[in-house]
Amino acid sequence: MKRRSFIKILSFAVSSLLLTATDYALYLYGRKGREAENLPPPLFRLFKDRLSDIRPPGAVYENEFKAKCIGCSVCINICKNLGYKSLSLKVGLSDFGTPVVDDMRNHPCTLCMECVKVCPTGALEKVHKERVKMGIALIDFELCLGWNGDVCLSCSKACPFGASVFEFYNSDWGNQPYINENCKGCGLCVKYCPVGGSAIRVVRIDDYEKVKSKYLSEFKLLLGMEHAKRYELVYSNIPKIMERGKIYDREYQ
Amino acid sequence: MIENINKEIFKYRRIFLALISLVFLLQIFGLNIVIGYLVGSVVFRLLNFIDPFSFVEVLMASRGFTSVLFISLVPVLLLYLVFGRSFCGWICPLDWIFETIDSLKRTRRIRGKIKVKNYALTDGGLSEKEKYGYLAFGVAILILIFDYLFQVPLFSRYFSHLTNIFRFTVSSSYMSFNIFLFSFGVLTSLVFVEFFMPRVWCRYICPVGIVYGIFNKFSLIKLKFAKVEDCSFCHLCVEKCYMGVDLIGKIERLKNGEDSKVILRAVECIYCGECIRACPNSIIKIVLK
Repeated sequence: MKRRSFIKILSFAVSSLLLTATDYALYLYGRKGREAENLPPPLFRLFKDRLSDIRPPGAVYENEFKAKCIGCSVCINICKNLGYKSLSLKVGLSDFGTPVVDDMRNHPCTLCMECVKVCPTGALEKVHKERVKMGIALIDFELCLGWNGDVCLSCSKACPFGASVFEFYNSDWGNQPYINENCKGCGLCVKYCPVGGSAIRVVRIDDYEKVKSKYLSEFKLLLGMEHAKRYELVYSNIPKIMERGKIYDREYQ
Repeated sequence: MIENINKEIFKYRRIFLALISLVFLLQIFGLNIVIGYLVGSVVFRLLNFIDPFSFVEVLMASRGFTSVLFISLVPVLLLYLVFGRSFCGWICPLDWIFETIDSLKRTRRIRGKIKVKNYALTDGGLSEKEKYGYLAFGVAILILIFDYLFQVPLFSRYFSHLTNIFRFTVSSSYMSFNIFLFSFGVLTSLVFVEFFMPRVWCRYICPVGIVYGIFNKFSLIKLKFAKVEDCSFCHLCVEKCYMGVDLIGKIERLKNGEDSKVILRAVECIYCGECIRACPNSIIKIVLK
């Protein structure tokens, strides 16, 4: 009997180790293809990366969300089963086990609203797509091709809300897109931006409010800048864009 | 209404337990009969379920009323108003794991600080049940107080075995490795406790179980004693009962006339059927009426 129980315990230990190893391997595999993480993300100068996480669409106000979310992972599982894989589990102190949209660049939210339908506690409220406010997408004017001498329409083509969100200030320096406050924060534009590591970033509304005046003043400055100064600025931005161009992660059309 | 549930059904209980866990695990392969884990889930993407203890936790943490929460509770409420604490014996994956561990130790008697000798209650004096029986209520209430003060559903989100067991197995590229390690840690601690103090988790600590235990007080399913004159006091029933139901005490009270109700609604009973299979005179029955 002693030998048999020893074998049972040993097989349990070995299978746990194998499971751990497989899991670690899958985790490392999932991190493949994210070389752009070595470069500072867009708009790093504004936020210095002190940003809160983006919640799934329909999420209630943050404190209420942390009180209601029981970490059941139904939203995450259904997002994965539908093939979008946008949601993942957060590992933190007060928000351990809650869903976040972490990788807008590769897996943005498509606003299918299936996660909302299955949340058992009401942490995700049933709202229509139009009333979703996951965040707002902000274009980094130093990295965007449309602000540095080219005409690129990739982000506006990807946007499901198109003309109600995008405004173009066409000029000699490019088509100069601007995303207004109707943006729902889904992140599709982030994915389809041809600049390596994206030139757009989705931030939560409360983070946006903190930097709004700085962002708008940069925007207005660029629009009103006289030719010689703008020339210098654009030609100093080009190397930054070229550096990201070395990361081949999107096709430029 | 079923007068007596057939003895034979209880032979298949462990298979049923394994099948239920399998249905949850099938999510990995994309087979979506159920989406989610035992804390909260969706069946066929139509019917929301939520664990009753998580329901109370969210009520405390959010300090308010959410209609979706109540809608998710209804199927569970209906199911367990009929079946009482059968969740613990027929659905909870830990029961399967704990029984496997217990079967490894049959030849050794391990005594932890809380003396549990082959699951039997000690006769005479203060039994474990009287000393520690209300511990589970205390644990549940402490957790709920914490939830109310800090507005976090502590047990469901962090420590619930019902979530962690599936995070340990289903986790893959869409969950971080840290979560996997955390769930592994929670599960290993429970296994460790089980090895040295059998069923202490189920009997004295698990808050989920005690909420289901409350259902036992008004559920359709209950224990019934028939022909108590035939009882030979062999004590096989209490030896097999790993939840510590005081069967012998009830039979004694029925015999000497102190108690006239042949029904027993024990908060600990999980309707596993071990006592029924053990009793040579078929005195104990489980009825649904």
